Amino acid sequence: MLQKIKSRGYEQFSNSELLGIVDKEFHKKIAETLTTLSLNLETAHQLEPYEEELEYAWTNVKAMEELFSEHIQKEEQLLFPVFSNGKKRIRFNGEKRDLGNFIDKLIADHSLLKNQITQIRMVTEQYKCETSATPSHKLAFSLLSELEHDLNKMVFVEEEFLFPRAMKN
Amino acid sequence: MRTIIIASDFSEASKNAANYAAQLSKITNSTLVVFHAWSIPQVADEPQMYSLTISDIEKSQKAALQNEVNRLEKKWNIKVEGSQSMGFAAEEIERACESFHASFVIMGMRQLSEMGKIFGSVTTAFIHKNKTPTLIIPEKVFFVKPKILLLATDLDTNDDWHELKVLKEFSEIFDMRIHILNVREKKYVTEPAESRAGIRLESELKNTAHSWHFHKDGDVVDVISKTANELKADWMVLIPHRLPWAKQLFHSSVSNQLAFTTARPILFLPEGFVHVED
Repeated sequence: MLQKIKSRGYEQFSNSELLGIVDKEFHKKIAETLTTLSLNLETAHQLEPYEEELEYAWTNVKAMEELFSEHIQKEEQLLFPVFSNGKKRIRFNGEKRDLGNFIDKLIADHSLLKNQITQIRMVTEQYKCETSATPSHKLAFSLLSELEHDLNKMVFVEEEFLFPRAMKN
Repeated sequence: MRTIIIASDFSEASKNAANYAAQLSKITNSTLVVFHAWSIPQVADEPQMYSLTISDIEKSQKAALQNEVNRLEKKWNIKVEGSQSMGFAAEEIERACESFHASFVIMGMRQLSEMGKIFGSVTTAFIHKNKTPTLIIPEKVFFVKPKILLLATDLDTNDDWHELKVLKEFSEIFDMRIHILNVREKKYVTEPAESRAGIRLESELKNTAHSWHFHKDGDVVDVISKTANELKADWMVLIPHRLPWAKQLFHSSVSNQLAFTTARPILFLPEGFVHVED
């Protein structure tokens, strides 16, 4: 699948391919990153309790973890099953309004997540780390940068491709 | 909220439920009606046994009803109506709901009986047949303003979730958060029909504070019970007709029921119920 990503744009993927990418490349990866990040930030905060930015980052990452978990489950359990396999056009036998409301809520979740990571980036001054910082601290800040990148990519793919396909009837 | 009926047999559980109902009616500015259904006791074969006339029974029931009305009015400083009728309790309560245009029925729930059943026969019969939302109050549970509500559903419905309008009204009055727990009897991939039901539910609760939780592994009743405890839910909400596992609440083994012995009220919403406002 990674080869396919490299060789063509997202608009050329079938629904099942797109869902596969969102599931494996984004949802699972980001969920794992958040878990690892949360553990490392907790350790770093315990070792460097005087660093307020660590406590701030840890608190926000825990909140992001909870929000992200609910968000991806809603997408996977409620949105993904209505995509028909192998076809670009979606058949949705129900009010478009309901689906629109649902997607609006998912987009609002995206905004919240992006806002939280932006706040963390500002407080940590672009994830700046002293050389004397503990390994957990350095790893955590490196993961934060990776998280932001993956999150932005996921939001782009979902909002530019997945959600518009779901709305086409 | 307009009219609340408290179905009472004057037991301690019923009196506790009536106290709960009184406080709820006060906050929601609803009319409270204490309703009692009675039946003729079996007459003994022994001729020397004193046999009561229907008139005697009716008088004693009426006196007991008036006592309960007086008790509630005095204790809670509210106006309470009383009503009684002769017949099978579940059917009479249903008739009373139609007659009073009840928004709600409240019933007490005793501690586990010797047979291990949570719900008595009247409650069981009524919940299966009723067309009115029913709030069951466990015997030792006292009124607190409900803030957290757990709605357990398998999303197996084609309806538009109109029965949730009463929840939304409560949510506004009490500033509640609704936690939706999607439960299924067995592990399988979500069907598109269920997903669409979930999307409609999300839309219905658009302006109401809510969160989603999805069932992972384990017995359904156990999952609901654990989730309710983790969230410290004040109320549980079930839409029983579409939930085959809800039968476990009424007929299963004691161990299951012990796991489900709830320290919180359970609200049963009849599917398709439309809350009509004045």
